[in-house]
Amino acid sequence: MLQIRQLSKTYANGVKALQDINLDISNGMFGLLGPNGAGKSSLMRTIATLQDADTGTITFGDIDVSKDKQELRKVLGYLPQEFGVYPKVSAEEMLHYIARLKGITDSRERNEIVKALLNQVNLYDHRKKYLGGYSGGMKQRFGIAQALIGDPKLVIVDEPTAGLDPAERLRFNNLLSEIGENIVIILSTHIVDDVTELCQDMAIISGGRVVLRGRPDQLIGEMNNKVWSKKIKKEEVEDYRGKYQLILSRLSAGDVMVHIFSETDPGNGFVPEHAGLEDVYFSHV
Amino acid sequence: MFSSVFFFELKRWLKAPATYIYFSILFLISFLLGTAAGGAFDGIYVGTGAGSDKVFVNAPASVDEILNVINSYIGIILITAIIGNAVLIDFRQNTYTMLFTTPLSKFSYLAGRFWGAFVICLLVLTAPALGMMLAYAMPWMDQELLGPFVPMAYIGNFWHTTIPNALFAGALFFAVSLISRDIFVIWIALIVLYVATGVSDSYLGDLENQKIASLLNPFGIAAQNYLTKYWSVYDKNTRLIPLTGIFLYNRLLWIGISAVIWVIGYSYFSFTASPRRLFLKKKVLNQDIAANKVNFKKIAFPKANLKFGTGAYLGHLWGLSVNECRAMMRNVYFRIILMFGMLMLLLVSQQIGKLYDTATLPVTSEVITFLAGTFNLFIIVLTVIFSGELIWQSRDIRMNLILDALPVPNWVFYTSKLIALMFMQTVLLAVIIVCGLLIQVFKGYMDIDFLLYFKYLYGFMIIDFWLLAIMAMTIQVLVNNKFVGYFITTIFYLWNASFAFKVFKHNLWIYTSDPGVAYSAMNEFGHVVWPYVVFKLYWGAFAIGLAILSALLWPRGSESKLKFRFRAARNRAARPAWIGITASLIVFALLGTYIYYNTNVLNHYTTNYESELEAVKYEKKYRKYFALAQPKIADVNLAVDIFPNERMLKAKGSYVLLNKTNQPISDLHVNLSEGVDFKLSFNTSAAQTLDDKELFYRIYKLSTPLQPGDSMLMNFEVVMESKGFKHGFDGLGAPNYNGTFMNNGNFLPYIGYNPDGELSDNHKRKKHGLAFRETALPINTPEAHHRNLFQRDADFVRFEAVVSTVEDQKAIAPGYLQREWTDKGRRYFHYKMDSPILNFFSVLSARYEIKKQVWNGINLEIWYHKGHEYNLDRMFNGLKKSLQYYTTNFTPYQHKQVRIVEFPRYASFAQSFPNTIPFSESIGFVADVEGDEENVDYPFYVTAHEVAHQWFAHQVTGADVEGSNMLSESLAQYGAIKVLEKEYGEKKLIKFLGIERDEYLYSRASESEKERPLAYVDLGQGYILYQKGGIVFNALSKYIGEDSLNNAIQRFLQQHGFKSDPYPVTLDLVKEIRRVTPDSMQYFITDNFEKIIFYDNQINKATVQNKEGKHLVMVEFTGAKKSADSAGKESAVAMNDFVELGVLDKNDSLLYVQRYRVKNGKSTLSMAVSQKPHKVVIDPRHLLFDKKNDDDFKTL
Repeated sequence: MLQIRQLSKTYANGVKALQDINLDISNGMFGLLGPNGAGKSSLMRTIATLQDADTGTITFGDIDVSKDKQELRKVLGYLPQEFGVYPKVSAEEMLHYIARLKGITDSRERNEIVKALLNQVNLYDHRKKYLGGYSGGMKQRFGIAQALIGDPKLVIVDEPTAGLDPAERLRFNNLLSEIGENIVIILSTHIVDDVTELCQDMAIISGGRVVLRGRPDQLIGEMNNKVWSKKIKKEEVEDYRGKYQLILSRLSAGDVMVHIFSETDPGNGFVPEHAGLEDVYFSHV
Repeated sequence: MFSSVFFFELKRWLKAPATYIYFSILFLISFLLGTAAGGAFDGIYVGTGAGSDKVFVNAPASVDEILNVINSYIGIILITAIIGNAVLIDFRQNTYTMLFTTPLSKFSYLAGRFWGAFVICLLVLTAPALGMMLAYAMPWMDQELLGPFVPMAYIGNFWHTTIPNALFAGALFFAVSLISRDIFVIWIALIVLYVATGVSDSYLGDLENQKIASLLNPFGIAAQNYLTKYWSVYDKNTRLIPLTGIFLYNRLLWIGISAVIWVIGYSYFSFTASPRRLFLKKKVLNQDIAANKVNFKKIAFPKANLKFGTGAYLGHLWGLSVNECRAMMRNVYFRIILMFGMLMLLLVSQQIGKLYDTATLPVTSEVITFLAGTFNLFIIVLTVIFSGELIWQSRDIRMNLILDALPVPNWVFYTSKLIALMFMQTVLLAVIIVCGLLIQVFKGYMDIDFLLYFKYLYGFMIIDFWLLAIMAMTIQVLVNNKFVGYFITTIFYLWNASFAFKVFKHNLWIYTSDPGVAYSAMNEFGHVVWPYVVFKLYWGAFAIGLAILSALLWPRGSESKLKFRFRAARNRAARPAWIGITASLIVFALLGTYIYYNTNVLNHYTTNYESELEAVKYEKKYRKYFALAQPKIADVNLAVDIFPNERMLKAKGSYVLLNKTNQPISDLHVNLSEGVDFKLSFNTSAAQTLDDKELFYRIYKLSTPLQPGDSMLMNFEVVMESKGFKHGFDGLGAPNYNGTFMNNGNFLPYIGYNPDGELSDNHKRKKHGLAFRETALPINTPEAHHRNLFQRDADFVRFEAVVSTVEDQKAIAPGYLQREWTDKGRRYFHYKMDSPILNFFSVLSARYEIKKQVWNGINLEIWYHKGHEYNLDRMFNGLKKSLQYYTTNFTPYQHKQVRIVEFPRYASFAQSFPNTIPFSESIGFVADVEGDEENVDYPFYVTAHEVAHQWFAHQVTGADVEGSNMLSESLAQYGAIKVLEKEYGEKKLIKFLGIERDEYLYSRASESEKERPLAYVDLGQGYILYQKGGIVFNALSKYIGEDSLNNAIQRFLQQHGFKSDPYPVTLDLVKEIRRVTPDSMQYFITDNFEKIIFYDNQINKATVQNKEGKHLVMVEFTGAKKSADSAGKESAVAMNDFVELGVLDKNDSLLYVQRYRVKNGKSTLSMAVSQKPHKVVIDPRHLLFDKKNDDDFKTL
């Protein structure tokens, strides 16, 4: 169980990255959804012991993260948002290296684990190849493999699918879904579908604050029958924005499809829309 | 387009704080350097190398020198950082994807970036000049050291040195960055540059290669030195470095090369994401289809046992270190660098131990010291580079966030990097071993001392490199900007290596300091091991503190500002680290105290400044006694016990003191040596009235004054102990384990006030409020004619000594061995001299081998160290040939024996004592004379010189006035030159004289008082005494004839030999020489002995015609003659002088010489030769002084 209490962080340039964040995260996959620059990565890095908050605490089980980083690192698996690799080292060598540093001192055990992981992420056939030659998707899979070494109790995955093509994204999400359920997994993303597909619990953060917290199905349920849609002309969008509680507008074959929130039928050609997580997201950011 | 890229680049750098950091640091350094050079800090003297105290610190030559040092060492890092990164930054930050897809042309992009960065570099590089200018304008400067402000000195340097050098280094690094897109390759380029410059400079020592070497030095510094090397003090103070001749060609050459390099880089570059591969194609993996199959089963990983705690971490450390070291060895670039290193070492190996352009044998110690000395800078540069690259590796590659989140403590990461760096240094030292062995084997030298390689490199040298590695990493960790880190590390290194001592004045404050190590084959590492170890432990403790601090502040996570890291270091988990730091600082302080106790309490240590103060005090207190009548030593009887293992010496003995004055003497003044215990007693009643324990001066009142012609006995008991260790290297100052060489000045009492203890530098005298002091007494000082130049307290004395030493050593002193015996484990030698000698003797003791020969009834002996047999025959030959020449041409030899005695290489000279010649291990015993037929047989030559001193010094000694040392050194030099010529022929002599002339012209440029004419030379003006003197006497022998000159010398010896009342002066000899000189040549005596004369002769044109089977050579000649004053200011004088013209054949052998009397200005000379001439040369035998030699010949 991860508890975050009153976490705040202001950077030297004045950006308030985190403002009074409070979260309780229990076992299972937790989705952290938010637009770019919302503070997701700052939060992730703070949990992953890579930076300190100005105020507030993070505890994981009995571990006070800011005071005892080393203890947290022993149970942590972390995949950063953006990372490079040593170009002249093979995936297998690199996983061995990390496995050793994660405390697996027995080389036989290490061999087995690295092999299992490589199989799991479908890199076994490429295990001897240099990481420098890996494609984006392969590199991300390598990234998750290294994060899963050593039985982590807390896995943090920061924007893993950004920049992946749809097929790679699918593959990657499958991988994530296979990780055990009795550990805490935090997935930060700005892609709503990632959360829909994977998470039982989630929060939306925006401007450094938690703006919504709950289970995705519950949150969607609350929106049910309150989302209405209509296809309109581009010029009409501003007019509609004034008149209705506009959730989102997206292009649709040259015109604009708008979703609005309304407790009652707004009429005017709007039809009821099946609410999705996207509607939840856009009505809160 | 170009301009927008250009201005964008400018703006980017102008906004970057690093630019201002670079500027401020450079400004500050040069300001401080200038301030120190200008004498603003009491007791800190920074010689602005230009060589002489008389050269103004702001004279163009000095300005140039300081700016060149700053620019070539520190400036180059700046250029790497700014220009080398100008394009690389787009790849590092991925902006290239945007840039390369705009319609920007390749030219605008590259040229814009380059010139933008270049202009920034130039702006930053104005800082040193500005800093210096400001420093010299400050009111607290010592105005005597400053000349007029010459703005052109700064502008000129910027124009002809800073800009072209920045252009060259910039173009090189830029091109390399375009081709490789890898910072490492830039480093390789930097190293190749260092190697190339190092190798070409190493050949600069050879006279013949100087011109080509100065053309090849890319920074133009060698060319500049070549152009100005004969500049006198006056020239340096008044002239700007002219952009002419070889310097101009050098600049043009390298600007051209820069352009070519730039164009190569430019053409190679293309707007693609990945560079063209230099070596192998990079494989990109195809999309893997297999990954498409999705399996929805939950995975069950094998369970792992996680281990944490110190044991596991040490395991990690081992694993990580092995990884890092393996990565280092696999690194292609590192391998390339290693190859370059080896190449450099093998290339410079021709220069090992050169003296008179002649190398030494590849004896292990010589090979190691030479290679290690050459490789030192290389290792330091690599250490600095890799300290940054290793620390920044994971961040540069952006893998740091993954690694930083792993459960590994900082110290494991830190230590693994440190081990990798130390491993690299270890490998580099192994390269020295490999090259050393190759050189030895290749040269067929098989007496290889393997163990010495390991002792020297891994026992001593590596410690300093390790300490440097820790410091460099600490700086990188603290600074947290790779290039600023490099910059600061370099500055730290330069500061620590050159200026720190001038400021702190004690090794306790100089990082990695030690009292010095020197290896001698005789004494091995001797007594220096323990102090060395103590000093290294002292700095080791400090470095461990730094290391722990670096581990503690190791940049980790996404916020690497020092502020955050310090906050993290206050964590409870960091407590053991702070305890460790405290503990290492305590050890540091304790060892520091121990060192201080040894250097300053057990031993007397004074800074230069404090020594000056002591000298001032001595002069102020006791100068008044200088003219006081004192008796002279007439008889020395001595028993010396040498204790090599304790480095102790005890002496007992007596002086017979004789009153040679015509007045009674009632006070006896005695000067004692520092660090020696004295007990004095007399055979008459005397009361001690003064005992100055600070200045070691005693006065005794004799109850019955010593009457003129009367004598008294002074007994002394002397103990000289070595206590602890001294601050500096202490080689010959005390007995050694094997190889003791002490002379009477070290441990015996001196009678009367000794003016040698006075402060001689007139600039310093003025600062201390002392009056101007002539460096020698005027030649016509009658009272000084009654004492000799070397020992004012004695004339010729009777000498007898018993010397004892340990059982396995032999001891020696002047005189003939009377008896040798052993008693209680000690060996005794009784020596007695048969005729009076100067009061100048030495005692030596070592495990000697002795080789004996006899020549004409004179016993010749060489006492040498086992293994040093190589050149004994040459030395014997030198002994015989010189005795032959001197006895034939001068006077008989006064002894029946000559002995050469080897001593450790802590000093490199040979010195002639009566019938005994101590001879340093380093000059001749291991010379490789046979290696090349061009080589000068200097074991032979030095022997001949020292034997000549048995005449010139020991038969005839000059009075205590100016010029007198000419009677010893110049004549000894003359004797040796003649012996050398007889043995090896004129061609070799000409080569030798060429080296000597160069040395004279070069050294006079750093004269710090006044250059004096030969007959008035100072005691210490070696370049006049040896180089000029030798050339002048040799020239005389050619111009007036060898026999005539020798007759004059012989008459001089006969008249003044063994005479002490009065002693002769130089003018007595000059008078004899004038007697044998024809009227037409009298000007030559005046010019050479009483003036400083230079010729500027040149051949404008030379032709050759065939006439009746003879070759008629016609030469258009221009003559000029100049007279220089004591500062080197020259004025033209009329010329009607004899000048020789010679023709050489293809092998540069002299075919024919003819002498002409020529006036200044143009004249046409001709001569007919029977053989086919190849070259015509003015003054082919080096009899005159001409500073410009490249216009003295024409090839026909």
